[in-house]
Amino acid sequence: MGIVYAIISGKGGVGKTTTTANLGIGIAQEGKKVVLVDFDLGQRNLDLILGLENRVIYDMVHVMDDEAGLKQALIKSKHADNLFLLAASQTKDKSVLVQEKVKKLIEILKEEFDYVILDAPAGIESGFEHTIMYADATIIVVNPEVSSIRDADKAIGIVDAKSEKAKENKKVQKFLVINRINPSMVSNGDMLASADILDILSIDLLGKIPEDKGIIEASNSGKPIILNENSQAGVAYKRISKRLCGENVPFEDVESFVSPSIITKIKSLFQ
Amino acid sequence: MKVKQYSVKVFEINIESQSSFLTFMDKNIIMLKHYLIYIRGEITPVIEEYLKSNDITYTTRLSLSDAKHQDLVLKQSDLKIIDEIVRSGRDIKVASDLLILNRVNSGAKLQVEGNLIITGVVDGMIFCNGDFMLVKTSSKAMIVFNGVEIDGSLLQNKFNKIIFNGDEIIVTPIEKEPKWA
Repeated sequence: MGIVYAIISGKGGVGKTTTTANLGIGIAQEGKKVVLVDFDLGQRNLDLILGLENRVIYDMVHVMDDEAGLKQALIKSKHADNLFLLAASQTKDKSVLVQEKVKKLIEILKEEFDYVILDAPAGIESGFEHTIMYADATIIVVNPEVSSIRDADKAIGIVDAKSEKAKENKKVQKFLVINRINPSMVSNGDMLASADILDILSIDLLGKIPEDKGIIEASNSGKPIILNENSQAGVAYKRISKRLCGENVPFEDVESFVSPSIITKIKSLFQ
Repeated sequence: MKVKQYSVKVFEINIESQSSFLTFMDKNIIMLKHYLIYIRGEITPVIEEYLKSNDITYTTRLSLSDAKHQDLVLKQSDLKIIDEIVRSGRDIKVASDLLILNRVNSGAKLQVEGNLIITGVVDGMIFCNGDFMLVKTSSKAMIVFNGVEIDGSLLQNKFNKIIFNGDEIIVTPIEKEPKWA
């Protein structure tokens, strides 16, 4: 039986879909069978970022309405074996989601896959609620800025109040990913430090990802940054993926700003 | 005619033996002096003399469980305890006293009619109409106590005792971090 993760943020544009794509590849590279489900109906994105733009024929709404079989709708990733995408519908919107059908879909996926990762829409409306309803755990993605933190705080509150597990009085695991950390801004005190964010949100830290301009290019070209071994952000996603597979990967301090070493400075004098 | 209503604290003491009663009273006389004492059991002449000489207010005819004297049952003010983080979007209204054993985050709102103690940091909005408040706030917090907004810079980053004595609000910072456990 697989584990269902919902990737949420509250605020839009903090890197939910990027995180979903990268963790999907990372976990699949660890040899697990993974399906990514795009719950952002009407604003399909995950296919683009995975480089599967024109491969979507059937989407999750077709599957839920029995217009297509699951096997027909699952799109195999080019980047990793064992990784599949179930795309969002681009023509229909969030209002077509019905709780019963969502539940059934997730139950089927849980039987087929080790990891079922749901990419939530931004906001806290019905589409968001359907995403968290049947999740075993949630991954909250935030940026180190106050508006992202407040929206995440609200989203966590909704997970605690409304998810199916919470209603059964079971704890829903909540893990925090701090995305787009700019080390020099943190050391200058211009950006919220991770310790403060953890204090406010009071959930467990899963990982920190430094700001990386390469992510934009990676998204545009459909090759998630985790495939780039020279990228700090890619390596950070790799570490998180391993943690999600149960491996005890030590936390790296991506936050402290490493100024150019003294040797680099001395060498620069020679030129 | 003039009618006044008081809330009175009552100590209930069962006399098991004269000597143990007198030892207990001697030990606690300083505190008990200020309260009404409801004594059950036999009041021997020695005890009666003792009570009289120490000027203690007592009664033997107060039945707290008796239906006839229901009116005498003084209900203690309720205390509501919240042992979870108060996240953004929560709007908590409490008619009684409130104790929060965690943070109050930005975007959360509390309206408390009674006294308020919060052991975590407050980033949110608080309206308290009690006589007493103990809070630690960030510069973002908004604190309104008995209708008066308290200047955030007065409260910042340490615990503050805030008291309303009927006509003025007194804010006293607590220099030492309280130990809650």
